[in-house]
Amino acid sequence: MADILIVEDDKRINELIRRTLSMTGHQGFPAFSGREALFVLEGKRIDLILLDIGLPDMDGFGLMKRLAGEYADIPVICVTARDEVPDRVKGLKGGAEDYIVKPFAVEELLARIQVVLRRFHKEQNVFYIRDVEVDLSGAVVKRGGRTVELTNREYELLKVLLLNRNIALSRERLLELAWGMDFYGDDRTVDVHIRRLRQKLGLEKDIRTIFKYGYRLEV
Amino acid sequence: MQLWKKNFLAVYLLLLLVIYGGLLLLDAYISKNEMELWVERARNSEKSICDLAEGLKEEEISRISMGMNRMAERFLTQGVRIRIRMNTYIAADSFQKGDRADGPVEIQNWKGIDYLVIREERNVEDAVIEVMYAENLEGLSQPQARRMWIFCGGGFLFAAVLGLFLYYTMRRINRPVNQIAHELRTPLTGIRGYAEYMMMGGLTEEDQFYAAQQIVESARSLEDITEKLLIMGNVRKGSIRMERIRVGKVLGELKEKYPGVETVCQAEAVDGDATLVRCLLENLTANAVNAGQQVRVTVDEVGIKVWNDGETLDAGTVRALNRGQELQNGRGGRHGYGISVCQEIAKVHGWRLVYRSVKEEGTTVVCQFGS
Repeated sequence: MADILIVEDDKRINELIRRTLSMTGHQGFPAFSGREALFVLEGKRIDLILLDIGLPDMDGFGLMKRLAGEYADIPVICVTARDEVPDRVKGLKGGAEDYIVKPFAVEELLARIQVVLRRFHKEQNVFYIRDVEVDLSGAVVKRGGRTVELTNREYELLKVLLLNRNIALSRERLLELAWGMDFYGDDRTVDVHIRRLRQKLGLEKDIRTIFKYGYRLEV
Repeated sequence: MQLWKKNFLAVYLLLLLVIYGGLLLLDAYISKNEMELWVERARNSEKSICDLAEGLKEEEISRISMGMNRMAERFLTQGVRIRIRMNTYIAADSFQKGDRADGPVEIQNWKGIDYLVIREERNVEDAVIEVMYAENLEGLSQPQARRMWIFCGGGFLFAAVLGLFLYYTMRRINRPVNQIAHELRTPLTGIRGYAEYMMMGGLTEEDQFYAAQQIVESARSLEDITEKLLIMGNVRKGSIRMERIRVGKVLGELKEKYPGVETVCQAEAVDGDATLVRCLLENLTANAVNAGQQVRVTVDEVGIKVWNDGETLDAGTVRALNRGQELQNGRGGRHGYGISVCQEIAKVHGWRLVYRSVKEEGTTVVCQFGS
């Protein structure tokens, strides 16, 4: 679980990001201006900053410069409406780890957050669901203390569900994330693997079927 | 490359084609006329020589041959060669060996020099008189070459001035559209994001209601921006929806968004388009908040005043702002966001937007009702 500072002047978008993060187990701290962001940083240990460029009191690029000294170890992801190449280059050169243009897909935002957290070794690697323990760093899955043998695809599927916990994922999206873009398979492939996962790990109630859509791991 | 830049390049290339094509045609037309005049003049000279020779008898020609040769030498100093032949007797000849021409009028190049050659044969009683007249064309081609260079240079300058004008005009037109397109992204993010949030499932009824409410609010602001975009697209006086706007309410909303801003309400209501006036106030306030620590927004019967205590703007920047130009990064702070939009909004209402920046007094932008 990561503590993420959301620097975004639009209250609606700020709240959206905060709620989405909280669904996946992260904690979001809202800041609506550059000064508020600096105030939050003074009192709280933050793992990642989501930064809008157009802030009412200062330029996001300017805020990044100020962060470069004392808070250089905190990765920054720019989340902005500015989609022009010079802005992207400026953001990335200014120290941002990633640059996301609005409007973004929530899944994409979460995926990029995970990548940056992984890069900075701030990602959670061990997950517990009832008596199931999943260690993503060692790719080990245990149930009741005993190692469970999973096939590669079952493990990939479990990993995708865990990283997108509490989010409903369509069968197509699961195929894309766990099998890869090139995989040419049937939706039923997902159903078969989900059934096996449920049986092997006893997660019948935790992996919820979303009618005519897909699955959600509820944690 | 941005679409407007591509359009600019296409229009500019077309413009170059038209300018240089036009100049080329003009040059060809003038050159043709000059050549015709030149030929006409040369023909007349040749004709008069021929008439002179025609009036003489063969024995007279041989007698005045020396005089004719002197005349040929005089002609030669003016770049004209002549040859007068009566039957087999050559009375005068300033041509060089090997110079020949067959047609009545032609252009010949002898030793790298162009000549206009006129040849005429007349039968007089039992004699044949031949006059060959060649005029050096350098006197014609040199001014023509000079004119072509002048046309090229003039065309280049004209194209450069027009190109610059076109570039800045297209950029000015594109900027507000670009900015409004940016503004669209925020409500779009709200709609998409909250819809995806609802799709995540596992939400309480309260959460679902909240998300739906945010989608409706985002759609409403999208509608506002779209409306504004449509109005800006048809910037015409009278095309806006005039209504009585309660100043207190608008300033209250502004204060909610920018709590640090001081608002002074000295008018009950103003007449204008509510969406556009809100946009104007918000853009002016956002710029002021970005520029200074203290910001005061005053609305009275005369107009809207937005003051900030930020760094003084130089005269050039103030002039640019009063022309509705956007500021680049680093010049006057942030993006100078929405300045041209503000100017346009003021214009459609028949108002006037004036910037003033004085040392130790700060920067004030005044939107005067009634220009």
